[in-house]
Amino acid sequence: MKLDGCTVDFSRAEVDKGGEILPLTAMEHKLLETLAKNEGRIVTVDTLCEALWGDNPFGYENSLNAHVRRVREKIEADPSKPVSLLTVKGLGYKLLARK
Amino acid sequence: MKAFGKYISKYLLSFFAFALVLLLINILAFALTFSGIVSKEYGSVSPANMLEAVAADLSASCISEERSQELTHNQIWAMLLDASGRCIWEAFLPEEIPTQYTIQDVAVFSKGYLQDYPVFVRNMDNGLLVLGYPKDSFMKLTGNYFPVRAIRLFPLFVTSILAIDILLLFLVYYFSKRKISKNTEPIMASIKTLSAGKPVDLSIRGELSEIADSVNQASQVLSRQNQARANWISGVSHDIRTPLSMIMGYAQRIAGDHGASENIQQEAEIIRVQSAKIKDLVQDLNLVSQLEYEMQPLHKEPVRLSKLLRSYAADLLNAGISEKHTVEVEISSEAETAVIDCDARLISRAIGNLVQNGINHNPQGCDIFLLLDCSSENVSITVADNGVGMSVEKLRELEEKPHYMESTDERLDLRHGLGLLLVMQIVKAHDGTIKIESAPQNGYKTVLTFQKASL
Repeated sequence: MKLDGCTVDFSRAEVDKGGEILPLTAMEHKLLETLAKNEGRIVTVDTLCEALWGDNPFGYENSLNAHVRRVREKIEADPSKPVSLLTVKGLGYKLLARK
Repeated sequence: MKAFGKYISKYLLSFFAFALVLLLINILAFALTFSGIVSKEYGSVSPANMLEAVAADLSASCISEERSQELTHNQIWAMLLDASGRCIWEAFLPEEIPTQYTIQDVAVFSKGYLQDYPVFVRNMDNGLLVLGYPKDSFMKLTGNYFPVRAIRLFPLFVTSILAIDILLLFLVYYFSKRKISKNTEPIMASIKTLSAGKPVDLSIRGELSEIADSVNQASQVLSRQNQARANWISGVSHDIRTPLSMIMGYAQRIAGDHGASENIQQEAEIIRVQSAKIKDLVQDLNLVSQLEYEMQPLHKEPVRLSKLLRSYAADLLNAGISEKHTVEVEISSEAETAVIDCDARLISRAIGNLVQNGINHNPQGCDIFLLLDCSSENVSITVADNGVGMSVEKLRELEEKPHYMESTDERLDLRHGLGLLLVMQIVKAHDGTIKIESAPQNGYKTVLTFQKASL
């Protein structure tokens, strides 16, 4: 999948950011995959937690945020100002592919 | 219920009055039957009177002609015994009667009978006067004596046994009345429920079982009618869905067709949006009728509301709403883990209807807020917008308006909107409460409150 500024290879769980190959951990891979399957649509934190930690995830929100941060560091040009992996306040996250 | 009790009491009173009248009639009959005998046997020819009359005659000289007539007429014989038991005078004495008596003989016959004749004695200066009446005319109770204590006890006994009788009668009446009430009260209650349009199921045995059967039948007829109605509405709404989907599908295609003019695209978009509204309306109609006639089984399970709220908002935004409207979700940290027993589908629907109402009433655009908060026992979902709000009168109308289904008002605008009615029904089905606050130009806020699920 082509994002703004990088390309994600899901089959290899890698991100090609400007030539540099960054591997994705299992969690980060799952996270990106879930968001990519719903590209352009909001995915709630509940759905993401369920995808990463299975049924009845509880209290994992902080972990989720941490993983999102790490993914942003790998796919965003400026992790503090994300353009691909966006936060939807109060709801969850959204992944935007390259226009 | 009270009227019925009074009915039974009146019945009891008339019953007692009748018993009293019966008693009086008995006494009267007794008097009439025996008065004849009494007057005949106890009148002037009674032993007491005759003894006195004859004694009076004898102490004068001898019995008068009149007295003789009386004696023969009534077959009475007489004799006078002196101190040694010898008969010194007699009148019409039968042959078998002896004329000499020992003291023992006198003692025995003076109490009862002499040769089977009932005899009566009277002490005179010159002897003992004995009057003999015909056999089988009088019966004397010999050998009768009562201890004084028993006699004294007699009145007390009569009054107390009478009191006990009355008490027992009353108890029997009371228990039989209770039994009847126990059986009729459920019948009364079911008829009341039936008149409110709800089904009932009575089970009564005994004499009133027939009535119970009839009531159950009436309930079944009512249920069938309700079911038929709900099924019909369900069928119609289903039939509407197919052509509507086609309209929406094509409208969407035209709206997204870049080859068509901008105007046509916009118009097609309007068609799509309005068709979506019709679809929601039809769906609401179906759900309302099913909930109304209790045909919708609620699949209740513990649901975390924070997750439900977020899902709803995400789906809404993903489906796309106009940019003029925004949706924001705020969940307090305590409410994050709040769980209620509910049908998630229906709660989402209720929230959806409230949000759609906000959007529809504010075509110029507004911000919509979904808030979740909780206390120790309750959870509350708030759907608020900062739009045009509602006037005070309309707000009051909303709270006072009759139930949609029962409203016989011809004017359509006076009845609840279907969307809000469904919300109210869903809230009611979950034993929750709904509160609406609004002021003109000051937005519109609806708060739904539910009890937290017990752990």
